[in-house]
Amino acid sequence: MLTYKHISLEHKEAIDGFNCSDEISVELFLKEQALKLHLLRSAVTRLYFDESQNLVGFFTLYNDHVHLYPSQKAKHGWKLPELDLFPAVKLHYIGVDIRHRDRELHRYGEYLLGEVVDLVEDIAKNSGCNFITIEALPSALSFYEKYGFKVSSRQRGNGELYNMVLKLGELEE
Amino acid sequence: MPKQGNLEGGRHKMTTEIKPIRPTHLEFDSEEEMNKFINYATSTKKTSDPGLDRLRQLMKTHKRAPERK
Repeated sequence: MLTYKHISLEHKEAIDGFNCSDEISVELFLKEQALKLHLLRSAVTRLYFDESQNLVGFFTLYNDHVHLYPSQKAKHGWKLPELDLFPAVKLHYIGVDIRHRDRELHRYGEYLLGEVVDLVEDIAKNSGCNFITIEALPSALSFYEKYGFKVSSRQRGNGELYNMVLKLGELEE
Repeated sequence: MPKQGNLEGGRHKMTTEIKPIRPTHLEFDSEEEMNKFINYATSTKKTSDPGLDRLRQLMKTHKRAPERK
C-alpha cells in the first residue's frame, strides 16, 4: 500500500535520489520545478512512498482549459458553436522511479493514474471539469491510450508532444 | 524538440525540455474534425472502448492512498 505526501523541502533527499533516467525531463521537472510551483499554488505535486519509505512515484496537477485554436477559426472562417472552451485538469507530469517498475510485483504507474482520476472526479463534483488533459511524450502515448485517453492533436511547434484528453463523463455510472 | 543527451550505459538518453504551465490549445485540420470533437465533448453518450473499459474497471477497485503521517 502506497502513502502520499505533498511535496515539501523535507523531501529533498528523496527527490534528489529519484531516478527516471529513461525520460530525463520527468526527473528534471521533479528536481527543479515541482516544489517551486507547489509553493506558488500553481501546480500541486503529490509524492508516493512504499512501505519502506522509498519515493516510488509522483504526479503534478493544475487547472487547465481546452481551447479550440482561434487562429484556425479565423483563417478558415469556420462557424463555431458558442461552446469552444472546456474546463479541465491537466496531468502535468507523472513518473515512477525506474527501480520500482517491476510489473510482476506492482503496477505503480496504473495505481498513480487511478489516484489522478479519483482526485479529478472529486474536483469535478464541485467545480466544472470536462476533461483530464495531458501533453504526452511519444514514449507515453501507448500507456495513456491503454486507459482510454484519446489523442486530440499533435502540438505544432512543440516538438513531439501530443495533446490527449480523457472525458470524465465517460466514467460516470 | 527531443534532443540526444549524454551517453549513459552505452545508450543515448532522450531529453525533452520541461513543459511550461499553459492552456491546452487544440488545432484541427478541418471544421468537420473540430465539430466532431465538440460533439464528443458535449455528448452524454458513453463511448465503447477497451481502454475506457479498463479504466472503469480500475476505478471500481481503486483504493485511495492514505496521507503519510
